[in-house]
Amino acid sequence: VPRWGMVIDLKRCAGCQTCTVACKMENFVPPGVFFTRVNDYEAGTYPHVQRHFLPVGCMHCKDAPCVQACPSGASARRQDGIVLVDQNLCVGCRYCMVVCPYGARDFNEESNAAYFGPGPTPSEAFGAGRYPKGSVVKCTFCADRIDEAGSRGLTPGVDRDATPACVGSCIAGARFFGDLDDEDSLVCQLIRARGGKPLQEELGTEPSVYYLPR
Amino acid sequence: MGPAFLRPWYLHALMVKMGLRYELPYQERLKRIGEDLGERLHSVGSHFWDDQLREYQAMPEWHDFPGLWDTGPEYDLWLITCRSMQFAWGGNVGIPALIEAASMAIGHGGISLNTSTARARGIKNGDDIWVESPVGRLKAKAVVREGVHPEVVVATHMFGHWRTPVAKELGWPSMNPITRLSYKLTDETGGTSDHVRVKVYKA
Repeated sequence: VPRWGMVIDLKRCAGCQTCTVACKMENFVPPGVFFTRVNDYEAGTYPHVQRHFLPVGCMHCKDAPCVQACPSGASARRQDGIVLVDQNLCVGCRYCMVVCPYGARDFNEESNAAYFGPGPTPSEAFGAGRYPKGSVVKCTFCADRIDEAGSRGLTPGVDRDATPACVGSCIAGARFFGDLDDEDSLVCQLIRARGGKPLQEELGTEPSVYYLPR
Repeated sequence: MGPAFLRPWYLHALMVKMGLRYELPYQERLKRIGEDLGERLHSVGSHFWDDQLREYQAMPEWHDFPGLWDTGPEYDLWLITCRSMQFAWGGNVGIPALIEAASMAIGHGGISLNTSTARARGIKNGDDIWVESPVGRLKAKAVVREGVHPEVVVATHMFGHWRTPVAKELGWPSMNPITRLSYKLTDETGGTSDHVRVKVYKA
């Protein structure tokens, strides 16, 4: 069984937020909720200023604090390393949001939120009800795509349709996806070659998202 | 050399290796293609293009555009514009999901000014400010940051919509109301120089 993981190249990310929007379209993410986003900030003092972009989302930790904190068993880690929230089990207590060191989870305030005032667009109507009102939501690594990969003869991380939408949509090719347990995989080669590290490694949560330094 | 994804991918390194130079600015390519077109037209006996080709300047003459804004020391800052990655040319400013994503990019929704410029005027990040030019003034939220020249304030472009649904309600500042339409600032292709002298103060 693979352990799915993502590698994000901070040298390539241009901060365009295409991944943010692609994720929203793919997963019918309601307004005000983000499964992934790109933090945009400046460092230094004029004239020695640098602009940095840091894409963030669920880190799909091996030792996930959210899974331990969840009282209903809604948050669980699958065998392939993907941490999911079962929307039918989530009671909306938000303990997981408190313990997540990455602030990767959002609370869904409404069940049928729409971007345009008069009502849902056809696309929004199609995705309505996916996230019940009062539940916690987050990145799934586009698990639907990965689960269908086998039956479609596709390989996650290689074939776009079997890879998270943020990876496939990245205009700069800054995101990579693959098996962290396979030393020959693209993601493992990148981590080795470029000294990739997860965020807040010292917490010992063993995230499945690695960052390649600028 | 290793797998393709581990090789140096920056264009600069590749160009150095191949001995290529950067193309010069001022649309050098346009001039080259124009000359090529001229030769092709000559081969079929047509010469109308020659006049236009003669008029084309790959390297433009210098004009004192800032001098057109000789407004005195009262207007001590330059307001310029920058482009938004999320909105490109602005036709999609009415898409709420893009507005939401763009809100995370520095500078959207307000006027950017340098920390020292803001401090000197008693302005804090998020304050309402007036940006006033000799033509008019606009109210905006201050985005105080380091990545702006202290003598410059910046309005992200393309938020001057007044009819487009959603975009017209956005309320993000645009330079348009406080700059002037001027032939002196407009080139033959309709391009304009987006800069205007302003003063900035707390609202």
